[in-house]
Amino acid sequence: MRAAVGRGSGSGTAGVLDAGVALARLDPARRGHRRAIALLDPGPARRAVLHMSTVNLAEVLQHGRAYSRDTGVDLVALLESFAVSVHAPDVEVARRVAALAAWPEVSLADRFAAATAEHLRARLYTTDGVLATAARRHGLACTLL
Amino acid sequence: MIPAAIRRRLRLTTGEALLVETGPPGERVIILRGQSRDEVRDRMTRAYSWFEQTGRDLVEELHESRRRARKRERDGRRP
Repeated sequence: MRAAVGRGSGSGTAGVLDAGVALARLDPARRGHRRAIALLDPGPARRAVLHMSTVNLAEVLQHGRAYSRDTGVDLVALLESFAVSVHAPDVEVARRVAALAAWPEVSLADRFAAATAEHLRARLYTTDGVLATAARRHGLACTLL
Repeated sequence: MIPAAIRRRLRLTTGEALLVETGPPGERVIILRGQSRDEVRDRMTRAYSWFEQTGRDLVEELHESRRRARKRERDGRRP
């Protein structure tokens, strides 16, 4: 894992997963797969309490539809097996998402991942370089897998 | 036999193994359990070959979708 970047928020043991982290865990050829294993799989190396926004879960389900259909792997059950809790956005998160519109380089889904990490004071884990760069630029602790 | 509506609601797939536990003695209660955590992960490991077979890169597809969304949002903000 890369060293922590940021102003201290998210330096604890909580982590928020972006959608790409879950998808990278599925694909052994994918860059970031081994890091996703180290992050997600239980064992002595597992330190973080992990969350994923419902919005980003929707992205996982959308992009993993054919995979789930063909393989029978239920992606929600899989995330549950990795003790990832799904975080339903509330009004506070919605306000943060709206405020993050000031980040001109990110999408709505990006902002849900970032806002959830801010809200939970957690480190953001992502496979997306654009989101990672924006998060770090704005002082959010972030690890790029 | 589990009615189709219930199967759909529970997202049960054809051939999926279920564990059946009975309730307390004297009560007509059964508990169905789906895949255990280990079973889910075993199934995922067996599915590694899906990526070779299909040539799909789901992470890259996600990133591409995000790039399009960012462009749409950027364009939408322009006066």
